[in-house]
Amino acid sequence: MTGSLLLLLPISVLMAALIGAAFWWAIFAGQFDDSGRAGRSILMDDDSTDAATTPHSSRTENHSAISSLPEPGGQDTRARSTAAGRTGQDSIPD
Amino acid sequence: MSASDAAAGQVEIFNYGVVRQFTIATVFWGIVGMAVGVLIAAQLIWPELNFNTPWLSYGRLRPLHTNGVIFAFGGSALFATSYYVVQRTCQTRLFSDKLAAFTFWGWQAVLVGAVITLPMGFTSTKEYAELEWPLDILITLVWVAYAVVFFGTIAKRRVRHIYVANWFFGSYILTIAVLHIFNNLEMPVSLWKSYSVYSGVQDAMVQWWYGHNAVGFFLTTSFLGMMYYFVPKQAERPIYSYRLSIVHFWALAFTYMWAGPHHLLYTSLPDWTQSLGMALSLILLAPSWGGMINGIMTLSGAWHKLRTDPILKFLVVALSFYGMSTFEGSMMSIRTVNALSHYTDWTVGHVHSGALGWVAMITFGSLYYMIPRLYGRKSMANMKLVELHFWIATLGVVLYIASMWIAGVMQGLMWRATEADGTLTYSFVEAVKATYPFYTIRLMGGLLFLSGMCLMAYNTWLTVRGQTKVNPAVPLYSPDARDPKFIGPASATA
Repeated sequence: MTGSLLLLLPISVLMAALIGAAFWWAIFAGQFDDSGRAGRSILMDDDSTDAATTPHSSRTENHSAISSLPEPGGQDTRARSTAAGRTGQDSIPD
Repeated sequence: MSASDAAAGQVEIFNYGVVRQFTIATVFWGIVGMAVGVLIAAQLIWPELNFNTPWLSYGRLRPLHTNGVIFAFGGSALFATSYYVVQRTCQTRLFSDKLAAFTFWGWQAVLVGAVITLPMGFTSTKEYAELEWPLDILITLVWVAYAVVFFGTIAKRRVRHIYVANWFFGSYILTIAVLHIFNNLEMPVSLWKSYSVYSGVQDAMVQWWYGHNAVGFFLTTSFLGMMYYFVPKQAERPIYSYRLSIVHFWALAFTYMWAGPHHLLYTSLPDWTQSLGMALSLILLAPSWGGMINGIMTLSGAWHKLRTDPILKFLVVALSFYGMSTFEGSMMSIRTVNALSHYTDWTVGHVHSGALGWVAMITFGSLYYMIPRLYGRKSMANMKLVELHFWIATLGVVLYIASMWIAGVMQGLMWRATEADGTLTYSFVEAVKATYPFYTIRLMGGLLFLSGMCLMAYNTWLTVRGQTKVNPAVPLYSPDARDPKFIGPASATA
């Protein structure tokens, strides 16, 4: 029994130490400074097919141009809003 | 001067190619893995379904089923979604296309290797680690490449913040590397035979340290990463509490490692180790439910969407099953409960509640979101099929777990029933006979779930055939850009 524990306990302690170090870095690198914006950031990324298939912004594997135009107001609305404009509008608990 | 002038035609594009490959692989392996599951469930009712051949015998096919659904289906889904999420949230292309391609072909080679070697009877006998040493080495190589691609992509990110899903993915990648290597340390004696460096109860401890963390990191933490991206995207709402996501992630990462002994209660494992595992399994309930609450409450203000959106139905019901399974698991880790449940079909029911209810359904929801975007469409070809898939899958899971609960508790009670004079009331085979009808119900549940998987394959084919594969440009601007030159409203290049 002690055999496996001599292996598992040091591994677990080492992993806990690495995890702790990663946590330390994250805090002091400012990763958790603005969780409101962080949560919203993925919603500001336009991964819609419209954005993907406008002529300027895509390269398809058979190299033919896709001619669909972006919907007016669709991606523009999101593109316009900046982080600065969003503060104070949060109703979500942080 | 805009960035596109400087870029002058050198626009960086996302690598969606490897994401597409892994996505199609997920659907394919889902059918294979679940079909083997249905076959072995049927064999428990009609043993002659092994056709008297060794390659179709239950003992050899069961690990093909477990490896097929966990590593082939689940693994491919994780590669696909982690490569998609890390690129989009870091706003950069994958670190290395060649290494990413190696992870795809290498992983498929491992899976084909499993399909060949497991029915041939080559096995290490260690649960979820049955593949013999040559395949273990290949897995290690693929996994190292995966880690390099994933962390390399994060290192070259264009935005400062690392979105929370990437913490979940990153921790699962690192932990699985450690678990895989240490549990599979073995001495080869021939091409397809090796012996574990551990033995006896020590091997059991290492095996279930691995086994529970395989479930905890490969099937939970990783899929939580998936959830943290696709639920807010589909609901069009930010995660309910980003702070909670950070807190429960770190709590989960610290606690999960210690839960392994709950697989070895009332065995020759030392009492103190058993107690440690039991206590931490109970504590684990809190961070797990943090994840569930965060995901479900993201729908706050958007509950009405559940009525009409089958993708959200998948995602939310998956989270509910996640909460259910993590509660069930913590309860089953209690010694007195475990005394009844261990070795019964309740364990099987619990596994499938997590695997079908949580893992598979969160995968379905995420893939139904991702597939159209990978192929230049707005949505899956037939959303009614997605809705039908949801109801069939849910019904399948419910039949599966309810039948296994009843069977399991019944087995536990029958095995321990004693007469006044201390003799056993029931022989083992009487308990088997009593279980029989529930195996039939379970088979129906599994068949339903497999049918749903086939519906998904059909719908995917309808969606992707004839479509051009899109590779969108990486947005250069972001409010959170690392390079001050590119700070601005989120927008595509040019």
